[in-house]
Formats: sequence, C-alpha cells, structure tokens
Amino acid sequence: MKRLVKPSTLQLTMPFGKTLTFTVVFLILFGSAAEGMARLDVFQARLTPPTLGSRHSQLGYKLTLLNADIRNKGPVDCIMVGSSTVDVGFDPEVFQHAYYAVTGHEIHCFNFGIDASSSISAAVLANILVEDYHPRLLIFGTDARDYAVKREDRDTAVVLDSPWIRYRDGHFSPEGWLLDHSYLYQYRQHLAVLLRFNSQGALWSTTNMSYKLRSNGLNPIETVGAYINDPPDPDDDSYEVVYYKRIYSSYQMLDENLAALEQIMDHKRSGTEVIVVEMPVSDGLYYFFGNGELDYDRFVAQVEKRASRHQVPFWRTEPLDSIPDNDWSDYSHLNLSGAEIFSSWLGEKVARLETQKDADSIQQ
Amino acid sequence: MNITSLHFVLFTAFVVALYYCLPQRLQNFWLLFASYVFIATWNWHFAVIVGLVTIANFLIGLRLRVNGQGWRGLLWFGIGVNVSTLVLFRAAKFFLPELEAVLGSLGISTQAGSLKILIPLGLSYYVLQAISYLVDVYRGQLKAESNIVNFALYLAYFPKLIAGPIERARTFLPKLAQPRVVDNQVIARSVMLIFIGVARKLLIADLLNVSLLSDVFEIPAKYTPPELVLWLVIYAFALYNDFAGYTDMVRGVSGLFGIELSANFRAPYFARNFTEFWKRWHITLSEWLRDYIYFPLSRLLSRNAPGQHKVANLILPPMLTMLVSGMWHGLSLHMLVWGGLHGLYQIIERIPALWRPTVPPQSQPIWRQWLGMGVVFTFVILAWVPFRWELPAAFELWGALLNWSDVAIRYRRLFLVMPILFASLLIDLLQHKSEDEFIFLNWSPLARAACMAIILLLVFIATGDDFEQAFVYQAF
Repeated sequence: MKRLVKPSTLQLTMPFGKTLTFTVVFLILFGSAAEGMARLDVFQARLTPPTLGSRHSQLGYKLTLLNADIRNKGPVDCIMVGSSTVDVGFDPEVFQHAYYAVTGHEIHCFNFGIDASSSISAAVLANILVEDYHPRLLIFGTDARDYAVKREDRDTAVVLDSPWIRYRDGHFSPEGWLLDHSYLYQYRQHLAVLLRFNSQGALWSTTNMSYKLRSNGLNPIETVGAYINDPPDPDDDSYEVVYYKRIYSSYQMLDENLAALEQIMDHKRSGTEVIVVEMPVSDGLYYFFGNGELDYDRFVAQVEKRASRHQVPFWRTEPLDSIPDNDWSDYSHLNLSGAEIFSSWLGEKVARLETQKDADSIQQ
Repeated sequence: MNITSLHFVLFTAFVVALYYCLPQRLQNFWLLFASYVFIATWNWHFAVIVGLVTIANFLIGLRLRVNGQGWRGLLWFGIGVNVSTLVLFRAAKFFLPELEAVLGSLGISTQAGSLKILIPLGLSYYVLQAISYLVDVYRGQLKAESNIVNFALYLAYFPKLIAGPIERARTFLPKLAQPRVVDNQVIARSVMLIFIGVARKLLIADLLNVSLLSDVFEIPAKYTPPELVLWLVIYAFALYNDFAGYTDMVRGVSGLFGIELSANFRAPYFARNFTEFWKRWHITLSEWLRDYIYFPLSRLLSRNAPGQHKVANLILPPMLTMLVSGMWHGLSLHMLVWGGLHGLYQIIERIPALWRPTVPPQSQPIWRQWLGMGVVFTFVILAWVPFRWELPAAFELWGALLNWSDVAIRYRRLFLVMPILFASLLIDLLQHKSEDEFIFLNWSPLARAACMAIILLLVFIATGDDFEQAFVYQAF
C-alpha cells in the first residue's frame, strides 16, 4: 500500500476518503433537495418571512410582501423608501388612485419604508431595490431625523448590520452570500426554532405581529395622537419624547447622511426617476429643536440645495398644513387618515409632473 | 471556546494540521501549548490554576517514593492539596456571602456580590486525575513522571479537560511517551465518534433539553403523573446524550492526535442491575471511585472485620462511594440524596448475595434481564429527580407521581420528541447488540455517507438560531 503523506504520525494509505467523498455528494444532493423545498410557495406560505440576519423583522417582511405583490400584480413601477414616517404615511393604493385620476394610467407602487432607518439605510435599500426590481420611479420620503442619526446609532445599525444588507452593499461575507442565494439558509433560523418545539415567530399561525402590514407595504396606524400641536410636557419621559429630544435638541445634519441623500438622487443618472419628498410633521415637533423652526429650515435648505444640484424634484409638504389634528398618530407620524391625504396629494403631484414631462417631450 | 462552536472546529483543525507536521519530540509541547491556549480562551485565570495544580502534583509525585517506600504523609498532603482546592472553589458560593457579611461587620465594605470566584474549567476532573496519579505512584504502580511537559499534558490535555474522560496516569502517560500513529482506521473511528457525538449533543440532547418546559423544574405538581414520567424520561435521555455526545466528540478529536481516550458510556439504560449500570454510566468516574474509594474501604473493612458476608461490608463501601460521587457532582443536599439513593439501590441489590451466589445478568433468563432493565431504568430516573431538582421540588415531584387520578397528556411536544428518543435508543441498541461501539464502520460507505450527510444537514438547520447549550457535565 502506498503512503499518501510522509510525516510519521499521519500514515494514510490508499484507498482513502471514499466515505467522505460520498458524504459530500450526498450533502450536495440532500442540500439541493432541501433548497428546492424551501423555494416552494407551499413551504414559504406557512412560515413568517425570514429576517435575513437582521434583528429588524420589517426588512424581511417587506421584501417578502414586495415579491408577492410583484407575483400577483406584475412588475413594480414605483417604490417609496424612507423611515417609519414613510412606513405608516404612504398608502400606495390611494397614491395609485390619485395618479390614475389625473393620467388615466395605472401605476403599481410599493411602500418600502423601514421603521428606524435613516438616509444611509434608505440609500442602501434604494440601491438594492433599484438593482433588483428596476422601478421607473423612486420616491424618497425624508424628514429631519434622517440626517441627525449616526450610522452607529442602534436604530440605524439594526438595519445596516444585517449580513444580507452588508453583502448587498459590497461587503462580502459567506453568511451574506448564503442569505442572498439560498432560501434554505434564509429560512434556517425559523426551521431551527421549529425544531426546538417553539413555533413562535416562525409560523404565521402562531405569531402575534406587533404590526399588520398590507400587501402593498403600508403599515396602517389607526390610533389618533393627542396634543401634537402643543409643546411636550417637560416631565414627559415617554420613549418618543425622550428620543426626539435626544435627536433634535442640538440638531446636526451629518455629512455621511447628506452623502447618502445624494447617493439616492444619483439613481437619476441610471434612468430611474427620483423624487424627494418632505414627510409631513406636526407643528408640535418644532418645539423639540434647540432653535425651533430655524433648525428645521436648515434641514429643508440643505436637502433643497442638493436636490437642485442633482435636478431632482424636492417637494415640500406645506400645502398639507391643513392635515387635521386627528390624522396624526404622533408628532411626526401620520395615521391611516393622514396617510390617505398625503398619498393622494403625492399621487396627484407625481401624475402632474409626469403629464407635464410627457407634454414637454411631445413639444420637443 | 465551546467544543460545539465553529471556533473549536477551526482551532482543532489548526492544532491537528501542525501536529502532523511536527517531529514527535515536539508534538507534546505543541499539544500542551494548545491546551493552555484553549483553557485561556475561557479565562486566563483558569490556565494559572491548572498550572499551579500541575506544579504542586508534579513536585509531590517526585518525592512520593523514597528508597522504594511510599511517603504516606506526603501522599495525604498531596490529596489534601487537591481536595481542598476543589472544595475551596466548590464551596466559594456558600462562604463568600458569609465572608462579605463578616467584612461588612468589621467596617470593610464590599459591593454586594463583588467577591466572586469562578469554578475553574474542568477542575473536578483534573483534580481526580492528579489524586489517582499520586496514589498510583505511592503504591508503586506507576513511576513518578520526570517529564514535566508530559505530566502537564496529562492534566491539561484539551480534549479531555472540560469534562473528562477521567484518565489514569498509568495508561495515559505511556501513550504520551510513545510515537503516535494515525492511520486510515484511526481516522475512520475518530470521524465516526465525532459524528455520533455531534448527533447526540446537537440533535438529541439539545432538542430534548429545550422540549422540557421550565415549569417542570419549578412547579412539578402542575403536571399529571404520565406527563411527569415522560418529562423524566426525556430528561434522562437528554442528560445521557449530552454527556455521551460530549465524550464521543472529545474521544474523536483526541483520536485525530493518535491518543485514544477511554469510553465513558456503554448503553447505560440497557443495564440489568445497578452494579451494571455503574459499569456503563460515566465509566471513568465509576472506575475511579471503585479503585480509590470502594476497594480500599472494602479491603479495610475486610481486614478489620474478616468474613465475606459482614453487613458493614455490604453497606458502607457502596453507600460511602455513592455519597462521595454525589458530593463530587455538587456540594448540595440534593446531590447527596442522589448519591445516597444509588448507594441504597446497590445495597438492596446485594442483599440476596448474603445467602446465595450472585448470577451475572447475562446468565439470567431473558425475562429476568428485561425485568431488570425496566426496574433499573425506573429507579435510575427516579434518582435523577434529586440530581436535577432541589429537594423541595424533588419531594413535590415524587409526591405528584403517587397520585394517578389524572392521566391526561396535554402537551403535544411529549409525542413530538418520541422520534428523538427512538434515535437515541437506536444508536444504543445497535452498539449494544453488536457489543461494538464502532459498529457503524461495518456499514457500507454509501450508507455511512448518507447518515453523515443527514447529520450535517440537520446540524446546519438546528444551529440556525445561534442557540447554544453548555454541556451539563461541564458544570461539575
């Protein structure tokens, strides 16, 4: 028998490795079969969407909803990205109706607002969504908070630290690659939970969602916020008030966040129409800023300046100052009625812009 | 660095690869270095403690025999050093709060709970190995080891450090002095052990463990007797597979270095009497207790009270041995009760031997063997109650088992875990029937490969939620 290796301790002889080779072959076979099963609709229908390695459940949910929406209604024409203000404030259905009323054309939109994201996470998500779904219109719903939170901020990091997001953002990792290419890997966490006799969070049938997303991505909020036009009670230590004070009391727009805004607007160069829209905020929010409306105006001016440089429309929502007090859920989030008003206004505005462009191109 | 972690896999792969490249004279140095790195990954203080225990025992061992005579006082001193080290760390959780109170009364303030001592990794295991070394050297059964590297490796060898097997110096040290050979068969055996160990730990023990509702341990009276019986069976199999899985894994890893470690389990739940159970359960600890407590005590009693059928000889050696076993597992009353119960079982089992010769189980009729198996399993799982539960809950559980007015089984998971229990029984049955733990190597390469691929795929899925359970016996 011939020695395979020279060292005195390791004395392997031929034939060697037959079982290991078969194991690899079987592993590929069984793994492929499992991957095939994980891709079946019947398998995915019972499981909650995979988290894609993120601690933020909304990311996986919205991607799954978007894929299902495309399967049911065809390719998506426009996607709106942004933070929770978009998540709860943009109703694609109302938007589509308003658009149709002006143009007589159908448009298929999806709300990809992610709770707690900033302009940086919105930019990364926009890259992925444009690359994968090729919408003709990308709308970025922005607010002052988008530029004040640091990349390392817990809330922003929760989206950006997802291995899948990092992989798609150009940081290779085996986990990110697997999440991007393998459904089995995406659902692995759920399967592990199920193996441990705990279906909570893994099966739709046993999962109590803290929010109910609509198939078009809207996260409808029915609650009506109180006193949103008044300054906050100094003794109020609710999460929302403490959070706004932290973010806005010495308001700074960070360069990395402004650069992310420009990155979103850069999609215009590759043929995607980009619109930046200021998300409505209640008058009460100004009280949180150290310099009141001056700080807020600084935010508007900075966004306006960059939008104009990129020749991207930036729409203020001043015309919506008339949103009734009952149509807010808190200082900066619309409830369902508020979302209807905002989305209808936006749909109409987009329709008019496109009609105008069509008219311009005919004239030319 | 947990041995089921990817870090451990990479660490082992690196250590093994370099080990094969080194000349034999450097291999033990390398293994010793790797072992101390492994210990330091848990806590560098642990490495210091292993080092101190090693130096103390090495020096004592060198002076234990003078002119062919054992130095009894030094032996007891050495045993005292080892035992007191173990007791000091084990008892720390009891006396530290008292010490804090005393310091407080003297006006020396300490923050509550600031005095903390972590029990060094594997201390209970290497202390027993050190004692066995000293006793064997004292008895002249082993020459004192003059090579500090080999001796240090005997105590700190990383595959067996965390939770054994408890190796004897007289069998382990010669392996370190010889050239090791890792050929096809050794690799095949080692890989098989690793796969069985991984399956036992990650696919059987961990899943059984998580199926146990925490209430079972806190409010056992909440459950009906059939449910409690099933929870106990699940616990029994979880504990067994956890430890047996660990042992198989580390034996497999050690095999890759060409160093064979002792088996610790041999289908213990197929034991037909309690004596046999202890020959199948945590074998290396049982043998240690037998050789260094049971036999010396039995001999002492026989010398002082000659005659084979003396009641003292029937009662004291098994009872004291099992009580020591209980204390080794934990300085607590419930562990003492667990040890005491096993002592009692063995005493009762031996009573007929007072008037008739003992018939070995394999010579008994089949029905007696099956009956014996059932009786042993029943009483062993009843004894697991104080092993796992504190005494008040243990009594509550035993009490609840007496009232069979409600026989409902309300938890679906009690049925869902059955395939896992059967998987455990199947592995044991195949090994037990063939009396060969490597029976799977007789299978065709295709069958083995299919099983290994299934295990890998299931492990890949089962570890998908970053859930990690420490080995139960790591805590002892």
